[in-house]
Amino acid sequence: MGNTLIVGRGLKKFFEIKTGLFSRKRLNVKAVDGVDITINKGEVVGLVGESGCGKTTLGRLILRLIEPTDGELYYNPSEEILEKIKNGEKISQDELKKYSIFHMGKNDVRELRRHMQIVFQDPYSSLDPRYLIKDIIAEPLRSFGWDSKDAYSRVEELLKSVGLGPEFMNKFPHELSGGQRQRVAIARALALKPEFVVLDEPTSALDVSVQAQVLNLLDDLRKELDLTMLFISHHILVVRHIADRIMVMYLGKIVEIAETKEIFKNPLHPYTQALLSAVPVPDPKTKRMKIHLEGEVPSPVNPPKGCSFHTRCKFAFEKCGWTANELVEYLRLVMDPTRNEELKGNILDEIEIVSDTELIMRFKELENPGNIRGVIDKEKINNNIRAFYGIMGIEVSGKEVKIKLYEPKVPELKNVGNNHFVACFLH
Amino acid sequence: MEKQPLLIVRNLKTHFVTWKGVVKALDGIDLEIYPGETLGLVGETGCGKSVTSYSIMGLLPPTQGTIVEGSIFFNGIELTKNVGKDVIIKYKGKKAKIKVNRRAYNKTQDFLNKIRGKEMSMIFQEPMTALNPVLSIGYQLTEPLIQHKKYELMMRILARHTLGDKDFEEIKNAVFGEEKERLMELSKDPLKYALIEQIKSIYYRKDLTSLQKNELLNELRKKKGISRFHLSVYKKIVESKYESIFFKIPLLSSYLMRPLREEANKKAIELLRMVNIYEPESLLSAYPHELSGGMRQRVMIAMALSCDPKLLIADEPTTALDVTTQAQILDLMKDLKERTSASILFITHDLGVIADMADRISVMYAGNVVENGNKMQIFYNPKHPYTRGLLRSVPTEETMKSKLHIIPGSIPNMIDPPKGCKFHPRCEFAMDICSRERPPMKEIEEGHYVACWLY
Repeated sequence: MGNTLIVGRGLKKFFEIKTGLFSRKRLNVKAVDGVDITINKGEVVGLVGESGCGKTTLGRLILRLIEPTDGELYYNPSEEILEKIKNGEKISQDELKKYSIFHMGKNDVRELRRHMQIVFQDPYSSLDPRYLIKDIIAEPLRSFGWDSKDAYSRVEELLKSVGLGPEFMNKFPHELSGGQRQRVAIARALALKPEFVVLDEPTSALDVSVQAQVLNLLDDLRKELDLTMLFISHHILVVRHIADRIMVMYLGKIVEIAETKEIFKNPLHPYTQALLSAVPVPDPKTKRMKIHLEGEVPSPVNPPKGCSFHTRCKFAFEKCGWTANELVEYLRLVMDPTRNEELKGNILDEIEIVSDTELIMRFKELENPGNIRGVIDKEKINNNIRAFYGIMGIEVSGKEVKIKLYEPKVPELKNVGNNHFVACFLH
Repeated sequence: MEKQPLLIVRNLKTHFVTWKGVVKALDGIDLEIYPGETLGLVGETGCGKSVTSYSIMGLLPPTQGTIVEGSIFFNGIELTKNVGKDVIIKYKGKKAKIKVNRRAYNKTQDFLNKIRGKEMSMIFQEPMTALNPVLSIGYQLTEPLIQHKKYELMMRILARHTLGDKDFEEIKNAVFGEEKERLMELSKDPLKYALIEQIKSIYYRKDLTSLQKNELLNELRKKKGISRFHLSVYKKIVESKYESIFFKIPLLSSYLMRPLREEANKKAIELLRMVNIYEPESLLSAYPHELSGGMRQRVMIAMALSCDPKLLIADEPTTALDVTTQAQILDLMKDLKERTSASILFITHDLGVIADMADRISVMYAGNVVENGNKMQIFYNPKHPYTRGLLRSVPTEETMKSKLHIIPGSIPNMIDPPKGCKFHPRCEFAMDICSRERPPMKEIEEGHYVACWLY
């Protein structure tokens, strides 16, 4: 038996959205878009990212609470399988059915859930208001065939382990405070002695002092029960406190993985740097250099080509995946002769987008075609228009100027040493 | 130099009536906010942070709760004149009933309406629920302008139509040349000031080329789209300040309002640009659900700042946002504060945010202010056991992989709060006196007050 508990390859989850009643066009929200994940036994992995980046979807995908679009996921894989994944060999259909959570039959998955549990974000809506606490916690036990008597004595045990007395057994959820409810949710997740727990923002609905209580509890339980955890949160300070390793997610993709200390000391991906610099530190004396992210997170329906972060990246350069669409507005702005005197006599008519990597500017009058390149280079540097870095070549023919861009490429997670993986062309 | 506080809250008690009993949400709090400062109000859920802001704004739901005692002075005006007259809580043993005297209550609201939105305004926690989903952004942004700023809107129109080309050139050159002293001098004339504001808003646009800016300026110079009748009436109103009479005549008022509405739209665009929204023109006809969380919060801020308030109450303005968006919004607020020199009451539970934003901090626990002082005093020399516990329970670099400090127990029931110091059941230093008498606020250093028997 190896040390690896969970291996996922190419996990994808697209949510289809309807565009209209009769429309044939189908749009997909790419919530999780090709994620590879490895979780070792006894490890706490933190998953951070902004809202809408697919953190929660990934967490639910790992438990197969939602049906995946693509990918394979192994729970407790044998050496044989691990070897095959490592070498990139094809895994046969039979093996997939037997080992991959995504290909198993329903009953097998149900059996596996004994070992995998989840704690949800909002303790106010994840507990059934009409059930007594004891029934809420006994629910997973019952569904795996425990009888009432045994189940209730186990519930008492569990309540004790999360720091609640037996008097809570006969209460309803509404009688409990937020912290107590989250304890109940944790007790429910631990009822079947799972090996692996997904914690989906377990403290974000709680106050700081209650959050501290829950974090300490999780720490204790982890040592006691030898748990493996996936800790999903947008609160980076909390993740730093509890996680051994941190994965950073942006628009459905993992952009950086490293050990906690390493990632805080030496964040490599520009997004991670911006994210860490934006965290407010409760210490008035620390003046961190804030890295500002321009604009908003792009829509996951139509994520940017190439590296999906390039639209907001301060360092984006040639091959980060600029497309013609992104250049059009900038070109219109720059080709204005009142802005750049070198272009006097050039009157822009229209800009046609031929493909993602090619566009044509048509001029009504073109007197200074030679200066176009110079102006673009000047604007690129003076006004830091990063989109112009994507220009590969400019051709002038008659009154048309053809602009070619670099082919967009998607950066892959690369090991830069020290078990530090980053998906960025800079490294 | 002794500054007069802009807002003074004295011994404010706000109670809510529930079927279980009376919830003493605020149990005698004192606050002061000086002009131009940011006061941070920290505390956990249910400690009365939001109730404080609602009490100051007079937005408490009258059928549920009311101020029962204490006073609020804003800019020298007492806001709590009608306390105990408009909404009355009648006790029957432990139970209580709330009674609203509609006439008195409406009077209070009429009085507050003149101040709310104009001199003090509020940014709410949830921008989705605070914006009206069935009204367009443009409508919601222009509403306070039309309500409170008719005079300024008329000035803007008059400035454009009565000032000559010579004045226009002069102002334009001063703005585009960034001659500060010249501008100061020019803005003494209210008409010229109104024009300076308009030209400035064009000048500070980053998304336009100089050609487009010139086009906009020419547009500004064109004297059209308004009848001579309008202009003459506006002139009269501005000169004599008889606004109320003209706007109370039914048909005439709607006729007079039409150009003002258009003008308010223009002003709204300028406001949206101030909060760094690109292409604000297209946003005016959008509805709240079309915007992202960060954008909505920007619109809320623009709305709150539309009438140049003296006091801005920000009730957890960034709690619903992501860290990167939060950083954007916080920087925007800091920037705007410098430009408008408004005071801010910044309410949050996030100690990191408060460390970034506030000048002075008040810590609240269970309806009381337990400690207040400047930022350095609170963070580096916290005195009250609750403040200490709160600061130590935040995960930081030092606590990595070790136990976090815990404040044992949970917040008390506000219907039957503990006697004496409300924190004593959870306090590690609790003494005899703590359970008997309430500790008074005591000054332990200059400007640093603590309510605790230890000192």
